[in-house]
Amino acid sequence: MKTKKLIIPYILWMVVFTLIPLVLIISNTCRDNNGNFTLMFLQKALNYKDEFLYSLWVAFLSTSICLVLAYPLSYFISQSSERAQSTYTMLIMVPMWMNFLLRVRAWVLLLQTNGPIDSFLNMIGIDIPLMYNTGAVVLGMVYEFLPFMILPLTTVMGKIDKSLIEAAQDLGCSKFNVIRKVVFPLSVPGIISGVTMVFVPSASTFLVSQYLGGPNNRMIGDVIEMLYKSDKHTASAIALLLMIVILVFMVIMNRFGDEEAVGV
Amino acid sequence: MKKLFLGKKFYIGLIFLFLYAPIAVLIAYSFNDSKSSVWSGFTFDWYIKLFQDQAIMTALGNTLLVAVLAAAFSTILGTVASLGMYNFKGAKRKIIQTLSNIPIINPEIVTGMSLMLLFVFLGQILHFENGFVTLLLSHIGFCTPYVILSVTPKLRQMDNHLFEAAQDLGCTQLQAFFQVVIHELLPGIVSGFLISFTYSLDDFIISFFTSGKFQTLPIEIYTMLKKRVSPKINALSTILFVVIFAVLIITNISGANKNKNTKENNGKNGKKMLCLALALIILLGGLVGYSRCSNQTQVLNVFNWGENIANGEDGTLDVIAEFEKKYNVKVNYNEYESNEEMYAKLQNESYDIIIPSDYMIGKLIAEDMLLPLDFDNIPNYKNIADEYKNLPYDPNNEYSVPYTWGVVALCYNENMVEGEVTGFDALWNEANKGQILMFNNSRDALAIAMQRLGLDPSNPTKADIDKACELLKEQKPLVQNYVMDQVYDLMECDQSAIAPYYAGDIYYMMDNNDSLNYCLPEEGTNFFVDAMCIPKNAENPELAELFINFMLEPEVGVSNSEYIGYASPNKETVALLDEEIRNNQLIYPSKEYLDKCYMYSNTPADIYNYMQEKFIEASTN
Repeated sequence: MKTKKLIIPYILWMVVFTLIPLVLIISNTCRDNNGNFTLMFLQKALNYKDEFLYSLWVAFLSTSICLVLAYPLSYFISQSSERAQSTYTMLIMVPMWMNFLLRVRAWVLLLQTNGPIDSFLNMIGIDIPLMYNTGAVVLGMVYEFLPFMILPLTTVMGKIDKSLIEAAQDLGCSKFNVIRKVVFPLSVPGIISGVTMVFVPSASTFLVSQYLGGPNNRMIGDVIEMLYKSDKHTASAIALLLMIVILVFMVIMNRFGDEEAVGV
Repeated sequence: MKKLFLGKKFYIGLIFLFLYAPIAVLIAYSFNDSKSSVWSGFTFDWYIKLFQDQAIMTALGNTLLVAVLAAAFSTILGTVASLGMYNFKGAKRKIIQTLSNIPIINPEIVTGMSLMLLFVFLGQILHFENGFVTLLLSHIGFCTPYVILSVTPKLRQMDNHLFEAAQDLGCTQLQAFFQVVIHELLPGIVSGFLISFTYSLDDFIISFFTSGKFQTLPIEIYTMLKKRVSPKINALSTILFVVIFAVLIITNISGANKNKNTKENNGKNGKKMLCLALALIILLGGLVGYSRCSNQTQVLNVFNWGENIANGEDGTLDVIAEFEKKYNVKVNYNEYESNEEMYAKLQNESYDIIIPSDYMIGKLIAEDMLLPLDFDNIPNYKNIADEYKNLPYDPNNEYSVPYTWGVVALCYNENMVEGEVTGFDALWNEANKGQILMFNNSRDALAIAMQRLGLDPSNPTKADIDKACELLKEQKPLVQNYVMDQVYDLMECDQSAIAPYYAGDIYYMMDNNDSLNYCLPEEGTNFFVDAMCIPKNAENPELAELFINFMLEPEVGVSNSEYIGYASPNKETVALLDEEIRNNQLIYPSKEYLDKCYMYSNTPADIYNYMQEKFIEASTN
């Protein structure tokens, strides 16, 4: 098939809707209202480095927890029958169809003082603050993005040839070693795409921390949301920095594996 | 072995409990007989009201329309692009792929902002407004890469010789393409379509930046945040949830019956999924179309605060519908959640009616963005009480007609608050540490701090702002959170002891929780007016004046007043209100008290930006 020409519309599309907008972000960052070159806005953006670092920290925690929670689940699912697999996949996807703001609000009702979870914990003698801290923000992120970890992991693990596992068992591998030496290495692409798909949005999303966090838990996405109406330039500068940080992260992730795994 | 099996089940169960617990809460509250999140009995009312709510139904229709079109276009664009990309190798391929992945990798907020900049830039050259088209384009933009990612692997798996074989067997190139290649790729295409549809349906962040006047459901919900999210939205989510679940169960059962695991059936299964999905969309679309079929010609674009007009609930008039009926016109109703958001949108979009607050009106007048009103067309203006005419933001009353007014007051929980609450000092009381809420809005938060410092909040200087921010930083360790709409849930569910908020809203909170009380700060407070104006770029100013006049009808005013809870400047309306409300000191404070209050005046852009910047700095980490 000679189909090279078919790429042309998409290239044009990407130039207009991907490249030019990025150029505009850069130009908004580096030029003031009169069109003069300035680094002032980048400097202003750096005032928010604490929120930057905090966002990366939250994203790191959320991603790790998602990975730990999702890995065994994905393994169980991939080991089940095909029909069960598709049912599980559906069940994991359905909550994603519900509006994310409503789901975050629902968590507020669940976690609040004297709410169901707090009452239960008090009953068994645990009294810890459930809201307005990093824990609550991370919980919100894990909730929002856990499916993004489970789905690629399940897909990749489902593709692992079952006879490989059997062979390893026949050759005397313990259950633990089968996972460590066979399943784990083969699931690396899934881990990479899962980690990317959780890390990027949880570092940059807004509103989650406004609802579940306290005054010390503001994230960089919230800052952009608050700033862009009054000061497009600084907001662009923050966006640009955020993009660079994320790109660096992607490059590092890609070192671990094949770039095509991203976003399976 | 058995034990492990149980452990596994338990683990899977736990994860699903985690995923579905909030959904259960969401569904439960769709049956709550109250707008607040305090449970007060079971009702089906919200489901009935949902279908009567034009705004939500329109937004739902818009959302589905965009999702279907975006999914369809990006499926075509993405499939074609994958076919094109297939023949590239090495570095070229890598470049195309990287470029294509940018919208996936890029934080959504960056993509959204960059597209907004693009559309504003193009809009200025080509004279168009953000709206349906820009929203659709941006959705196609972020969906297409997902289509490529799901089609490309299928393309790799496909045996290249199939295409040639088909041609050898007498197929034309086109036939071979559609019957062989597309057939082979179908599972990838279908999953690309479904992913696109899902993403488009729930996208909020990118839409927020590019949708202009076009309302979609996630945006509608976001604008509700200024006031409260209506349980109607919960009802809608419940319906969607049930429908999706039903569709999935049906497809799963019928899929499982026919095929075990063969590859060919994958395609059939996909087709079936696609058919069902389309059927579902058409069904919902028809429902929406039915509820909003109209043939009016003239359109009035109204841009108002969220939840700021009576909509037929609780025995009020459905004001918009009444107006449409009376004058046989169509009202395109949009909402915003802050003056600044309204101002930003006004730069690129045209509206016929806006309802900004006092200081924003001053700013708009100063920037020559408002049309002088022709009061001959607004005879009902005589209903406005004299106190609300010629206010400082519009000294000769040429541009605005007051709609509502109120003061900032304190709401506190009698059982939780420590010490006596007499003024804003209570917000700095150590004894209430961790239970104090504060405005998440630079103007109102800084004004309170300035009042405590004895500065004039109506027209601050940069030095005033610096001092006020220092005071806010001092307060920060005591603050539970900086909030806007969350104040309702937090106060009504006994989560916080004290909060400053707008009088009309405090009245509603007190209605939902008997332990709540209010305090008009003894030192005085901010007095605000929201007024109706017509922007310079209005397309239909005569109709807009008709609308303003209609809003000043005493009965319309009563409905609005009852629904919104804010005070009315319309003396005929006030005369018709319940005595209990009319004499309520919170909503209608005495003249003596109002004399102690101040209004915001128009702040120059650089001061406002400074305020915003400093407040973010003071209120965050």
